[in-house]
Amino acid sequence: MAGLTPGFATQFAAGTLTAAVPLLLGGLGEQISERAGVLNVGIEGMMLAGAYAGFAVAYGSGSLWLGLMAGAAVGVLLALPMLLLCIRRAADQIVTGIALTLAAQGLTALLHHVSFATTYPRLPAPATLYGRFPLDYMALALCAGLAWLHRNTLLGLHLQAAGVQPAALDQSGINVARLRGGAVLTTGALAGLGGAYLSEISAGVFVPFMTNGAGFICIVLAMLARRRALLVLAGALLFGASQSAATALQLLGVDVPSDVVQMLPFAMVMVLLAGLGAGRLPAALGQPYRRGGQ
Amino acid sequence: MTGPVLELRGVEKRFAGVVACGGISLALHPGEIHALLGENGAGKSTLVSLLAGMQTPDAGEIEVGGKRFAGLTPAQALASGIGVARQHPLLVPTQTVAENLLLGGAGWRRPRRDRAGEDFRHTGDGFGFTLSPHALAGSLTPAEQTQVEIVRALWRGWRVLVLDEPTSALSHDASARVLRRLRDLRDLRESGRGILLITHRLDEALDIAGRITVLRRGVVSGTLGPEELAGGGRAELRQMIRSMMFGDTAAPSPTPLSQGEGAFCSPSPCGIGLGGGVAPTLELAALHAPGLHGISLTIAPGEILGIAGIDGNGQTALAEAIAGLLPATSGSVALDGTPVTSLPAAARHRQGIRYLSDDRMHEGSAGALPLALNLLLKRIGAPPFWRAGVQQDAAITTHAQAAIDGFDIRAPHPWAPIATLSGGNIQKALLSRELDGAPRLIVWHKPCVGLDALAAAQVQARIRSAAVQGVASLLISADLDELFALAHRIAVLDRGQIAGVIDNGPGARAAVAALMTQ
Repeated sequence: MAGLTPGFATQFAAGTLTAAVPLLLGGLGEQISERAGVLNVGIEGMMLAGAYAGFAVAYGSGSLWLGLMAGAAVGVLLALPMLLLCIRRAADQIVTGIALTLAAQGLTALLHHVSFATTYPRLPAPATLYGRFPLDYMALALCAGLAWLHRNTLLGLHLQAAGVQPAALDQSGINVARLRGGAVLTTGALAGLGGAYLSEISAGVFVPFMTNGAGFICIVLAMLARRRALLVLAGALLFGASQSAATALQLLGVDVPSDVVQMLPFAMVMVLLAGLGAGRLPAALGQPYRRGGQ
Repeated sequence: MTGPVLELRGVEKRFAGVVACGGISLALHPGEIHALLGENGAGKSTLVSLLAGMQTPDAGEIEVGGKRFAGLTPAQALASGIGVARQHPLLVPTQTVAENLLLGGAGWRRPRRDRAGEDFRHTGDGFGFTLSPHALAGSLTPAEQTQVEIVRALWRGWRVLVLDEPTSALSHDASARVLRRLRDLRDLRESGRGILLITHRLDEALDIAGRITVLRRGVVSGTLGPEELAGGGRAELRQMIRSMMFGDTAAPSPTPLSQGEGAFCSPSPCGIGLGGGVAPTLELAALHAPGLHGISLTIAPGEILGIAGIDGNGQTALAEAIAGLLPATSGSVALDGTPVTSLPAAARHRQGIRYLSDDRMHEGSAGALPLALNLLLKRIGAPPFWRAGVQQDAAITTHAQAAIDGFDIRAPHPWAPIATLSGGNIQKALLSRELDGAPRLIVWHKPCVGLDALAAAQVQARIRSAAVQGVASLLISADLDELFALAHRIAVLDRGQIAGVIDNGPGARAAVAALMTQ
């Protein structure tokens, strides 16, 4: 194992974090939505749309930060139909989410085809702060902040109530639709931001379907973490590590087919689900709420 | 003289064309406890939902605190000072009692769990509640949920207190304390508050209410003002109210629960107790389970064994341990001499053990499923209702129609979701389900909770006739009158143990009371 140098370790850790941040952002977003009782399967599409918009704006404007903001904005834009259909119109959340994901996949592939398919431009490496892109620190701070919010604010209790027994929350004078709507839009923003990070920072390039299931991993993370934001971080790091293992194993010169290595994160999903189970999901997850509808 | 604190004018509400409230008008005056009586399905619960803001009236108006509303939202109801304690509390099961009470504040604020806990204890003390505010709401018994619900109704500073059957899940003592406390609260006359008490217990209403309104089929069928209540004798008032509640069509007068004899000398086989030479239908031997500490008892065929005791002394555990829902840690359960201790609930059901839950809305029925399927809930997949996995709608409808006719279940249609029925009719449906087939032993867990006198009398008649047919019964009840009217013997449950078994008869009441309060 001649390759196990400090340099390798650093690179592995850095790769892990780079792969983990989009999952962390998306997972935290999905967690908010699931706590409030909305299963957002559209997160894969929101991340992909955020990835395209983030890359396009960053490339066009030359500012990574403008790109990140555009990613978040497009995530919110894609969350709007979710809000209108699932919360206002009580449509099925899973069907809506799948439709959103498929639409985003088609749309971004088409836009990519007309914009970057011939040139495949790359973004320059981002400026760093103590060796990392500043958003990394912000994502960690966000995770700590949300952990605190879920536990130590009434908003946290309200989100939980909206996902478990929305009628009880409604009766206490809180507008369930508004709270769930806010949760869905926040999920959109975080998913879009995570997607933009993926294209702008992790890859530096946009490729169609580049999220490659990251959104679905975020759903799994949120389900496994249940109410704890810090568990989303732990899960994101675990998946990040298994993703960066691909590069790491190549660096070590271990001869494993790259297809096998790329399966690692998904094998991890199955192992974790088998071991931990999805546990007790919020009782009203996926169910639309109508006052007096019981 | 100030006007009413709360006034309803011609309030109407229909569900899918069925009239729940057909133009109700009533006024709640400051410093007054106003009792609202009515049969199940009279529109009481709908009225509560309207006042909580969880339903919007189709017509009419609600005036509270000088403001008129065509319909309230929950936020408006709370802002107007309407505190509501529902009969079936809406609690978030994954949160503690204190957290449930904290819901509704500004989102950015910190939940002061400890302070809420202290407030809960402080408010609850007056009612004699001893529940821990840090208990998980999902772990509470119906009686404990009621405690939370009552405290929550008072939580935000109230002007109008609406209590929907606050005592129906509570034991006799607990109810008495709650009512005493309400009387104290009423005395805050100058604060301009009023209490609307919805109840099915006539004496409760006569004891503490200053005004009584009776609802029948969604309309006000009679009122008694302070003068009439002060003027009439108790028996006379009871009779008046009963005729307002049930009209002249109520041929069977509500069961006189207070009589000491009851079933003891009814045609059921008195004396087939222990040592009667008959093998017991049910035998529990040193049964241990979570909440139960060495229960030994037997029930003979045709015998009704009553279980008395303060709520929360192992009643639910006992019912579930017999039904097969709570595994025994040691000891045995035997049916007709055959051990069933290791059998799951479904197998015990096939052997003839039936369990009527006290939680008819959740444990007892699947609300969204039609009545017809709820009647077969414990036989899903069995012929002739299912053949090769295919549902036989015709056979199911026929079966349901027989139950509807036989048990007088009032439902728009056999395929109507059971949740759309009133509480009394749901209970009748569950009774018909548990009596279907060949029951050997039935565990009746508070079978008459929340039912009006007429429905309760029908249920009690069923319990009696099952006993006459040789079915053994375990009757758990918080209502001593019910136990003395029906049971042959009464066992007192205290902290998971049998404190004693008393033969029903002269002197039994005193003996049971002594065991319960020792």
